[in-house]
Amino acid sequence: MIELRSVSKSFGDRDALNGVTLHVGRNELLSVVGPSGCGKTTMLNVVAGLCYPDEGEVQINNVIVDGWEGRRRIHVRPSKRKVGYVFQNYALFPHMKVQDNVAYGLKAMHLPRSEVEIRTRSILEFVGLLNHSESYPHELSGGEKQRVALARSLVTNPEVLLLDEPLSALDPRSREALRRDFKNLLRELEVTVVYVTHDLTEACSLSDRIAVMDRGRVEQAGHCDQILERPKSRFVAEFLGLNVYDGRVVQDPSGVILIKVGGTEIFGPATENPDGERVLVTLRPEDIVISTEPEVKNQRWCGCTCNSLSGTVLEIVRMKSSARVVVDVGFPVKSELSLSSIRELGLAEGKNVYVQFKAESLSISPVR
Amino acid sequence: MLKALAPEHISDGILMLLLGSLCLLFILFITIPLAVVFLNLDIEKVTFQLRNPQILSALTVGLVTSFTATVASFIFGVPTAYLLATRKFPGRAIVDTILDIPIVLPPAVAGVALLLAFAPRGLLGPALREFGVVLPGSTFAVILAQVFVGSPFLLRSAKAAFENVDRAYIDSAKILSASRLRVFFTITLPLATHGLAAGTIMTWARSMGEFGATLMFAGNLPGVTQTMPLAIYMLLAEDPIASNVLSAILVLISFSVLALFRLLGRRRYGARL
Repeated sequence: MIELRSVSKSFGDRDALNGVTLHVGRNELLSVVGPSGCGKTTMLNVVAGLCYPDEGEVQINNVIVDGWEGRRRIHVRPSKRKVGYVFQNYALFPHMKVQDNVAYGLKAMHLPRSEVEIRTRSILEFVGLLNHSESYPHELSGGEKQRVALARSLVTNPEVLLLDEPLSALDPRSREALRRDFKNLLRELEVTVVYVTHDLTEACSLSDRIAVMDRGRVEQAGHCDQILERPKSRFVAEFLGLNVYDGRVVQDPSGVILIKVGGTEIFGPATENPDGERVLVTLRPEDIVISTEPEVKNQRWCGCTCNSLSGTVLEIVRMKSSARVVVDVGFPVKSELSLSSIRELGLAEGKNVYVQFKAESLSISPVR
Repeated sequence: MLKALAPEHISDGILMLLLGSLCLLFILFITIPLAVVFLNLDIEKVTFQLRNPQILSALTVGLVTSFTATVASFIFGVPTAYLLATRKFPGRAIVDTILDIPIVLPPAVAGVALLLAFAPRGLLGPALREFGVVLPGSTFAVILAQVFVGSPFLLRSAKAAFENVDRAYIDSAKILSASRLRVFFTITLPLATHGLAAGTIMTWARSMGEFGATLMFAGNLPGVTQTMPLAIYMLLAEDPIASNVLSAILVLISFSVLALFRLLGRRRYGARL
């Protein structure tokens, strides 16, 4: 279990952490996502004890490792925290063979030689690198290095495992494969894991719960679906790739709820937000249908209040299997379409289309 | 297309010719004197001179003092370099600069400075005399002069080597429960070995070749303070062949040390280090 309470840390006049409060349950795997420079790595360093927080308290398994006891400062040394840490570039000792890298922590704990050997062998077997134990780090591939780093940090049986973008240095193909390996490996262990990444897909595929960080703060923490469903702030929504707008609630006397975005009024979901209130409106790209006709033809939307806004295609960005289409309907709307539907609709930049979505697909929250 | 390329090719050729001749001239300038040292020598002359007591004593004094000076520079220099590289303390930049001064200081000035500090009439001379220590004219003075002039090379090189050890290795080791001492001896030191060796060799070479400061501070007493460079200088007039043989020995020593260093210094851990 890891508990951070209002932890702050600045380097010179730059705030790296600005009141971070976060809870990671025992044996939970929490992914921390955020853009580079948001304080993810500093947070790991604070948990590992590599840097002193300026303020706040850190607990690992109910023991205060950073904080104050009265006026006495508590700072437990990294070696006493039972933490494993996989650095972004693995930091394998270049002058040691794989087995010596892995055995390093055990030797530092002054364990008997026979035990060091047994445990080193078994962890190398666990990560599938027993046949590389005599190699030097520079002789390994990126993925192999990464598994050595994992083995080295796990061999001492840490209670907490910290992973700093462990897959970011790999090419996309091995990253995909290793992500699956990783998930299986981590599942087998009884260890609390904090997994830092800037890749949202990676975060959501690895762990149930994620924390989104920005500018030294945890903007939102919770289950992936829940965050995708109800992003709490503009930053989170934008980071998740949602459409985000500033809007205003307009309650029609007949009970119909409209939201005014820019100069356009659209149908909104049932809300308790009062008339005239300024709200943050978010819309998921995958909830949007693009049509060449104004009428909503989607059968499943039958009986729902739907929006159908006319606009022109601003931009089509092709990706692997889909494309992102941006349509200007008075405000830009991002949507995601398969390449085949783009062909069927004959979409091209400048073409007039209708953007359709259910009123219920809009999610609105008061502006913070 | 051809027309556009042609002038460029010509200027390329001229440029390469210019660079090539500069390079060739430079190589000749360095190698000719080095080669000439061996030109007038034959086995007979060398074996005869190796029985010359003045040459033998200069070799002994020179090797013993330069070796001692290098060990002393290492013992004091490496910890200092480590502190300068890894700890922040007030005045660090000033200390760093002052310790580098002997590199650029003319050796004669170093000699004067050492005299003013340690000679019997110098600042610390009277205090030393209380303990019965008179430095000038002693072999110990030779060593002091060599440390003064030679140690900054080791210090510089060691400091750079320590600074270049990636922080992540040290942090990893710490997290793996290694004590500070263990981190130093298993991570920092092995990764800095190359820089330390380079610095040690530079310091040793500089100590062995020390002339000005030794002459002024320690004097020129055969068998006591007369090192190889001093003997070469003294013998130049009275026994040119002896001087030549001694020079050749020094060139050989320098060359073999550099060769050995290059051999050992081949990159070991892939691209790193």
